[in-house]
Amino acid sequence: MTPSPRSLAGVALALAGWQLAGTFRPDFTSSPTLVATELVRLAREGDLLPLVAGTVATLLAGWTVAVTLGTLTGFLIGRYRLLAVAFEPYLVALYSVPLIAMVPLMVIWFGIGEGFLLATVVLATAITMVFPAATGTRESMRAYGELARAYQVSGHRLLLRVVLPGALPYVVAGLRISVQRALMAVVVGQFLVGHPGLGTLIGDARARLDADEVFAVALVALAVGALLTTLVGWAGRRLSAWRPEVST
Amino acid sequence: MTAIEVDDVGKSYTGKGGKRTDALSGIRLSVPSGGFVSLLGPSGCGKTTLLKCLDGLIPVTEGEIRVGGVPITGPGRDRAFVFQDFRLLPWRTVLGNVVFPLEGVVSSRAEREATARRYIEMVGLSDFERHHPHELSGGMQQRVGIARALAVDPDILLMDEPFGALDAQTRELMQIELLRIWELTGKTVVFVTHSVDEALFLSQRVAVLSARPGRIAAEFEVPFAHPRQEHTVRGDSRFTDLRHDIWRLLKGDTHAFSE
Ligand SMILES: Nc1ncnc2c1ncn2[C@@H]1O[C@H](COP(=O)(O)OP(=O)(O)O)[C@@H](O)[C@H]1O
Ligand SMILES: [Mg+2]
Repeated sequence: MTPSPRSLAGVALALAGWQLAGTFRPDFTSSPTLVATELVRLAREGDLLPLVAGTVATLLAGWTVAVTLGTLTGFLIGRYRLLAVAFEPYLVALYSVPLIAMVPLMVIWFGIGEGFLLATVVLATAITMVFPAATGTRESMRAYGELARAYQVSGHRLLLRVVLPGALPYVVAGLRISVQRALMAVVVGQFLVGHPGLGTLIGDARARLDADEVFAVALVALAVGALLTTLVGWAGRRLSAWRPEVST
Repeated sequence: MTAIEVDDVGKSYTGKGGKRTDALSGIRLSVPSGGFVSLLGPSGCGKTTLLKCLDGLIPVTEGEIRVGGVPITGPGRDRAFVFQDFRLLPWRTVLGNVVFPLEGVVSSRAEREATARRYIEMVGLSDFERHHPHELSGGMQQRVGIARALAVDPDILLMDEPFGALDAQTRELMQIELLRIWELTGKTVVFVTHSVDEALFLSQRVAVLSARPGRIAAEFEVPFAHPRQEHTVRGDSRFTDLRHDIWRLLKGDTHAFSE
């Protein structure tokens, strides 16, 4: 995807407007030049890069566990009606609980260190994989189950060569949503318990009422999110190139 | 020799809330080994149901189906099914789709692929073996479906309106191709269609089903020797007479026909 001249012009216009606003109340709105200067300062003297790297490492570790757990759970409830009847209501309920309500319990269980952050990411994102994986599994069986039976393909061969590939486009759609949620979870988690990372950078800047720094860190978070989503989207398209994308 | 015997078979579906649909009733049919028999009937008369019962994909509720004298209990390697909607695996190539039913059966990959390639060539798709289904026309996709069925080297081919989704011209080409393959391989074919012309052009015998619950209303022998030439068959007066008889039978039964 290459940006069109029109969208570039739009970005330029927005930046100019921001710059203009910044000449009146830089303490409120900051401005592109102030944010750029702040970014350079943070990168030079602050711990910006190690903090970003640490945040991304936590995110990826938690997300990997979450994707594995969530996809497996989704596959099981998609494949076995009995499991769906038994567990789906709880999973739906879990999906709608605001994460913040879980934080006190999570602190009691995992403390306020790396363990807490990992658990938060897993809890926040595993569930986003469950329903796409379950739907994908059901759709896959609906579309190809009879074919497999007609040609006596069953057991692990049915699972690995029919059900999972058929469910892949749905899983890929889930991956994109879940990686965004993972970033949100890790940043908010850091912010809440004061664990060093992007979330705490924003928290500190806010505490100092430093608009330049808040904007600078938010921009970094935005860039990390955009990069992750793009990478996952690209990988997903490679994985399911044989078929138009699905949305769930 | 008889390949398939359908002995007083009935099938009823039980839908949600226990509602029963009688799809087939009192079906008796015998398909000779190496024969080409068509099942002809209006939409919804139970043709697909009967064919899936023959494959063992769905159980009968009455009677018995014997293949080679043995009552069937499920799908088996002696039969292969060709679906109206092709039912290809979209993430696999042409070769991958044809190899698919051999994967649990033939352990050597080279041997599997050699077998698959033989049938891909038979249906004229050798230049497309690395293509994915979405890159192929409907006619080509069904050729893959046929190659996949042939690859397991079944005694019996069960074909459910295999050309129903194709345009008229492709359809005629595929009919000629199918006859060529049938003459070449000597398989027993049970062919479902709702086209009188298609049934008459292809088969040695046409079994006409009545509307729901499906019964065999009549059977017609088609007196043309194979290999058939399209223009000679369709132009023959016996063809026109048979066509007329079948039409009259169907019209008396239902108006749900289109041709
Ligand atoms: N799985 C099913 N459950 C309930 N009814 C079915 C099912 N499959 C087919 N039927 C019904 O059985 C009848 C015969 O269907 P089918 O065998 O598909 O007919 P055809 O192939 O001749 O069009 C139809 O009335 C159809 O609605
Ligand atoms: Mg049908």
